[in-house]
Amino acid sequence: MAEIKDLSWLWHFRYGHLNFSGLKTLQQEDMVISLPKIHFPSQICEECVVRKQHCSQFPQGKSWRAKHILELVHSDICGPINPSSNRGKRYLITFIDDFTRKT
Amino acid sequence: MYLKAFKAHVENETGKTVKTLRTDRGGEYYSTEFEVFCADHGIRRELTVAYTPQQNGVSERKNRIILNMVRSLLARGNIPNNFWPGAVNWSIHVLNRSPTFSVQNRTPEEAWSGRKPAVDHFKIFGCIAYTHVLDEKRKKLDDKGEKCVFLSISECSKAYKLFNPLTKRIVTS
Repeated sequence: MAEIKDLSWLWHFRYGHLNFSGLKTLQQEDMVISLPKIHFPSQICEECVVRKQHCSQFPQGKSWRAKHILELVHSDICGPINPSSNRGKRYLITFIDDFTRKT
Repeated sequence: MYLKAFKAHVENETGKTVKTLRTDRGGEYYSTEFEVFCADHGIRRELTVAYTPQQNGVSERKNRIILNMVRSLLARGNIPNNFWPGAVNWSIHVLNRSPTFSVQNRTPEEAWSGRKPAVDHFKIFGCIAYTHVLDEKRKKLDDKGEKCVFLSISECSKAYKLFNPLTKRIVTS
């Protein structure tokens, strides 16, 4: 755990790792009694990074589009599909051309 | 190695070569044999980060579109679920001739081949079809038609793929 160097960190920990802008709001808007002045420390809290880690959003839309036929082919295998087909097949593979979207 | 067949087929059809292949890290795409094949043919690989299907969005979305159509087709025609490969084939045939957001004012089929596709051969999946029994295959007083179920179109010949429920066989006619 990081050393408790000053009041900002102390109150960050006391408030169960509440983010600093939250602490600032509490203090600025005078929402609680006897909370000292908070400033944003330059370091980051390691516990917060490790324990609150989340996956950032996936970008909407594509990274790049092909400009010619067959420049980029998407492929995926789908399955196992239940029940299997009459010939006992269980998977389906797709190949999609990015430019024309022909499958 | 479905890629082998796919590659041969499309390269023959377009005269162009496959440049990049974007897939997930499924075992099928991750074998040494597969790597060697891609390296030999100069195909660039784009693999998603493990367990991140979001990066393979085009494929995953298409699978969903196809399977949604397959479910509707099977349900509407009261077809047993094990006929799904026929429904998949027919769905892809239809989807290639349907509008798509990514290609404006053209169907994928036209963008691919440069020819406007005809749809006069479209039939309802699972509808009843009667095949014509060739004169050579029947005796004088036998039935001239056989009742079948429409499944898909044949990839190799100019014909429909039908299922004969009496003989339990798929016929091309």
